[in-house]
Amino acid sequence: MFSNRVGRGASSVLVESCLLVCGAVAMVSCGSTGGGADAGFVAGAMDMHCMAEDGGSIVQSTSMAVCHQPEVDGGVPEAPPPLFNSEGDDDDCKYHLKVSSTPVKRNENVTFTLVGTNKTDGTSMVGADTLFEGFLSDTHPAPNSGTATTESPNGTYTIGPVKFDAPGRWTVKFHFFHHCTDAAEDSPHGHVAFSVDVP
Amino acid sequence: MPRQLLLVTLLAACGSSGPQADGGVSFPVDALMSVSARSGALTIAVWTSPQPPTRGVLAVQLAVTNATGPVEGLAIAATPWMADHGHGSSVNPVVSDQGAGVYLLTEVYLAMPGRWDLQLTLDGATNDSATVPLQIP
Repeated sequence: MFSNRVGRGASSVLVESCLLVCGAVAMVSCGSTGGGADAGFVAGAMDMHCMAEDGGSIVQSTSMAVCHQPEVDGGVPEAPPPLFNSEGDDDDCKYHLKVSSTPVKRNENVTFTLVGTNKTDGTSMVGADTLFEGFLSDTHPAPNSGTATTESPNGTYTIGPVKFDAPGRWTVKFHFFHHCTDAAEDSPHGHVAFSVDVP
Repeated sequence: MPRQLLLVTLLAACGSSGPQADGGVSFPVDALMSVSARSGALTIAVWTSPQPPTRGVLAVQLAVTNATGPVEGLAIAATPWMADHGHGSSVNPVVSDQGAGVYLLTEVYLAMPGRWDLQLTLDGATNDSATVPLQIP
């Protein structure tokens, strides 16, 4: 797997660690966006899956040139568990995502707002044609609710309406550049999932 | 062959009568398509709800027949697969035997547009497999 590792000094790691802790506190206090007690994004450990052991960032560069590369039979990739809180990197460390939502209530319309940046250079994740997928379990998908996505401004995606038809801990998964192959490591295709509690 | 046609006609009549017992799913009169199992011994008529299929959660009805008529009592497993992207769905369809060779698949979750293959394995009196291609706009 091709990855760019951006090395950093110990002091910057310390600063970043402090920021992460502060961020975690902030997330726990404001991650839930309403809808009653325990509704919304699930607070927990910060996403660190794109941080290398030496404190550097793991960044997967992307190229539209491989978007339509033919698939190879590489087996079924295992989906990682959903992230806690409302911010983190996509599964392959291509993008950084921040997500928020309107109050989460059962059987009511919920709208998600997702802001994406490219991890390679911090620019906006433009034209990602973001798709939503939600499920409570491997046999309980979110019901059809006419969910649509709009992008405005560049890199900011409004996704809704979404309905959650049962209480519990749901997985909300967002797909980026879904029309591109998922086989090539540097394909723009990406996904990230978060946990959401529905009271 | 006449028994197959009779079955399809009966199913069509049922489908047009509105909601069915299992989950209130209804299907149109005409099948979306018919596919052959890998062995060539089984024919599978396919309905979807909605039909034609759209992105999201679908129900799929299968009517399985062989040269002598409906094939009952099969254990069917269904796996949605998006070959162009090399991934499946996050949700597994739920299969229920409706009798008379008819099987209902619910919670068929096709979250992306494009070509999906509903990969079927059919076990019981016969062991076979089939693929139902679904184009999602």
